[in-house]
Amino acid sequence: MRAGVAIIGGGSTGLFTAYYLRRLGYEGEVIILDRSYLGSGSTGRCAGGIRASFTSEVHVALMRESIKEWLRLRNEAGLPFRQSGYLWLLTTEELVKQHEALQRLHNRLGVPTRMLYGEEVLSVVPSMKLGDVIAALHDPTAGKISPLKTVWIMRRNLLKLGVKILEYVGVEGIVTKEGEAVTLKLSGGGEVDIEDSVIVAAGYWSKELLRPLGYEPPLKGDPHHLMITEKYAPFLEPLVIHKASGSYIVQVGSGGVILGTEYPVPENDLSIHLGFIGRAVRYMSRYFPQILDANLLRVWTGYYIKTPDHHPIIGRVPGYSNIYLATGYSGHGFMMAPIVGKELANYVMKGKPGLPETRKLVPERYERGELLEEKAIFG
Amino acid sequence: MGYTGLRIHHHPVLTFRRGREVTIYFEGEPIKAFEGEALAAALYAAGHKILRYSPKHGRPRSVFCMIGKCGSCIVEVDGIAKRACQELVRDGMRVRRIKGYPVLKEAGGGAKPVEEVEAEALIIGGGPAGLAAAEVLGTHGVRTLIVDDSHRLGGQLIKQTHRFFGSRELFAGLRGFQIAEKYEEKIRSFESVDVLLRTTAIGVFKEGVFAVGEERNYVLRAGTYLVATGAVENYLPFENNDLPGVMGAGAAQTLMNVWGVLPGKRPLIVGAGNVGLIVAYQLLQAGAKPAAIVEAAPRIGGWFVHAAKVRRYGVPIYVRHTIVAAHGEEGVEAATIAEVDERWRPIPGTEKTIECDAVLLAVGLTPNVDLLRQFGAKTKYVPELGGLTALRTEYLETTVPGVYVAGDVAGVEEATTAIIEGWIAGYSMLMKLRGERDEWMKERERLLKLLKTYRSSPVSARVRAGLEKVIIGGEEVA
Ligand SMILES: Cc1cc2nc3c(=O)[nH]c(=O)nc-3n(C[C@H](O)[C@H](O)[C@H](O)COP(=O)(O)OP(=O)(O)OC[C@H]3O[C@@H](n4cnc5c(N)ncnc54)[C@H](O)[C@@H]3O)c2cc1C
Ligand SMILES: Cc1cc2nc3c(=O)[nH]c(=O)nc-3n(C[C@H](O)[C@H](O)[C@H](O)COP(=O)(O)OP(=O)(O)OC[C@H]3O[C@@H](n4cnc5c(N)ncnc54)[C@H](O)[C@@H]3O)c2cc1C
Ligand code: FES
Repeated sequence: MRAGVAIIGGGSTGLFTAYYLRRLGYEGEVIILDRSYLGSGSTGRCAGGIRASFTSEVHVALMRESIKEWLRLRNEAGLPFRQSGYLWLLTTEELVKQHEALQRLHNRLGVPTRMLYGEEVLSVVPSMKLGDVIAALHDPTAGKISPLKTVWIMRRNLLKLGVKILEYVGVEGIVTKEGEAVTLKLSGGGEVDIEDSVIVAAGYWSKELLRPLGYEPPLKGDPHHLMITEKYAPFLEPLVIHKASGSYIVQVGSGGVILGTEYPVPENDLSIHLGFIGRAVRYMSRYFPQILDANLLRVWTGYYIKTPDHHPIIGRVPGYSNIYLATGYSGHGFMMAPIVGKELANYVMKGKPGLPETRKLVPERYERGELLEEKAIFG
Repeated sequence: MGYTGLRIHHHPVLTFRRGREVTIYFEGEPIKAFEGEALAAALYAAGHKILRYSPKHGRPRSVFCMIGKCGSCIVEVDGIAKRACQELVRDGMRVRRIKGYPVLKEAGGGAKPVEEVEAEALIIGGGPAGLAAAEVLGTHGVRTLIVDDSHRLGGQLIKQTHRFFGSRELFAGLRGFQIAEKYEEKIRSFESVDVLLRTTAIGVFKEGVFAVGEERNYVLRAGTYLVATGAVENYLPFENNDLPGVMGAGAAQTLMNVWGVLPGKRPLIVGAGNVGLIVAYQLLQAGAKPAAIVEAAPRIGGWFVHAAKVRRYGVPIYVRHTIVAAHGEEGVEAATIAEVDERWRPIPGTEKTIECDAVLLAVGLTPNVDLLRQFGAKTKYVPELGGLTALRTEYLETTVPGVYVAGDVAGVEEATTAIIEGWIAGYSMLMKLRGERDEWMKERERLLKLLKTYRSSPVSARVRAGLEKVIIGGEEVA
């Protein structure tokens, strides 16, 4: 088998990269390889929340651009992204002050968030109880989309665009020659010869693939839980976050209600804890007591792939001219997929990314000590 | 809607102990019902088959499973969305149909209390397999807890009015529900065995098995676990297969034999295996007249005696036929059947339309393996056993140490084998907890032989072939 670009990993990163390669006019063969099924990694397990209201300039700018793509993709790719907003519930004066400062940062970078005080909060979510909420930060540009639907729709788009998708085919090794990837070794004995580039979009397992090449990205697999209820009539448009506890609630398009919360468990332990349900329900039922009577459908876990500075690693793998890596989103990789996919396509076709912010995410930043900072990680 | 004649008043073998007559309101209209019966049964008996409208296409829906699994019976009870087949009638309750998705409302009760329970043995499922295991454990004083989502112990048995086949020594010609009653009495006599009814084990978590009850929820932990959750009914694709009146044969049995309400007066039955034939016979007992039985295979799959009995009553059996459509506006009024070729595809031009008021699907069962998979037990797809089922040793331990299987969940079979498997699993659990003893080992070997004898007939050839694919050596229990 030969490929112009071979993409290792069929999660949101891999799928959107293939899409943007075609959109930017790449004509060679594009192949996506996944050792399991598309979306089986973190992508299929995520909440599908999309927002630009971050605490670092890099994240805000990238997500501002990514949301532009999500909006464009509604028509272009048929993705039902819903711009339903995010609402950050603030329960202490300190949090309120912090978020007033954040609002200024967001607004300066072109993201029109605004603070709501007291009863004003209810204008955005009438079905909620105010409780101890003092104020809230509302991000009207944020939104949601089902990750599973996204995977299905993207698969259809990619097949139409002539992208080859190989599921249940794992990559076991990248063969290089003089600083260039030349061949991929596949499970089952097959090979893919590389004409242009290799994209490593294998989440946590990118580490295993790259270690033999002498580069080990600083990644940690941090398990997170989510739960979803049976379907109910729409009652909640935005994704609502209780900032102090890192808990959140979102009703997805099909009617199910997703709940998440910070629930620390040991690294790499994907077992399912009841304590998670207890904590998520305890916090969110303060504001949405109706969830106490919802029927629980599923609970699951998946990895946030974390880096030391909680920003993704995106760029050329040190020492190799045609291998690119994108992972380590620290819990926000799904929402970034359109912009990351576009930037990886830029790397492949033009040798460099389009945005100055993307350049700050190169792997070398850790050695150079140019760490970025992000404070708003939750759930 | 007035008198429907669907209530069964005279039955040759069953007596329905109904609660006092009360009035409930459906869409504002008063209805007579009996306290403590399933709300879905009361509504069905009153002629209100349509319980909700499907969210996307607004299609009418009625009961399909009658055991809380499918969601097609969700109604609003006093403002809160509930499954009508699991909700019991209370005087004055106000019930509304749901169009689209139910509205999530605050019931006001707050969070249900959670109780933590520790036992030596936890048995999930109180059908014949679970009860047999409890019998062994109870006899030896093991602290055992049985959880079952139904309102009575006995599993499938409580719905069976016929004398059981193939089980002379085991139940000496008893009818299914009588076996259940006898067993229940016995289990209740053990001091070390507790029972939680109307309690569903919904998940296996790091902290234990989470079970949802009426008044409270539970976290259950034990030294050994038996998953004896039985099997769930299969569905069949055909035009209008969601029309009110189309339901599983098991649901029909629950309606008529547990609650005393006929699923219809002239139901069409799909499938002529034992379940289809027995349901036809049970309908006759209860005063209905099955329109016909259709079977895609060239031969009747069930026991000859059952088929003969049904034919004697003039119920036609169409082999090499399948259902291609149900007809009706608000419920089944007729069905189209057609002949099939050797690959079970309908042959155009052979369609016949049969008048009927319900369609009962008796097209097989699938092991209910969800909890086993949550425990982490390895499963394998084995068509001969009904689908996915657990790998296990001869002594019924799965690939997860301390987690056992028995009964239909370990391969769809019959009550006799479910009971023997329950006993074997019971001894395995006993020895896991108390250490091995010669007399227990001997007894377990004797039961193993007994099981082999039961499975030695040609009827069990398929099951034997299936078992060969799932029995593993003890060293494979990880
Ligand atoms: C509970 C939870 C909630 C989340 N909520 C959100 C949210 O609301 N918004 C958001 O933006 N993000 C969220 N995230 C994060 C998001 O899911 C991830 O950042 C994102 O999906 C990463 O996508 P990916 O394509 O990089 O990786 P993955 O989706 O993990 O894809 C990697 C793929 O690579 C394949 N693979 C691995 N090794 C190999 C190999 N050797 N050969 C071939 N294939 C291989 C895997 O099978 C997998 O399919 C959440 C994550 C979790 C766990
Ligand atoms: C119409 C019909 C006729 C039959 N006739 C005969 C016959 O004549 N002779 C014969 O030997 N066999 C007969 N059988 C077969 C026999 O009834 C079954 O093989 C037997 O009941 C299987 O026993 P079990 O304990 O494995 O499962 P079941 O009897 O199905 O019991 C499982 C129990 O587990 C409960 N449960 C499931 N999941 C959960 C959960 N998550 N939490 C709590 N509880 C749960 C269920 O409610 C149920 O009570 C017949 C079956 C049918 C349908
Ligand atoms: S859930 Fe009530 S009929 Fe299926």
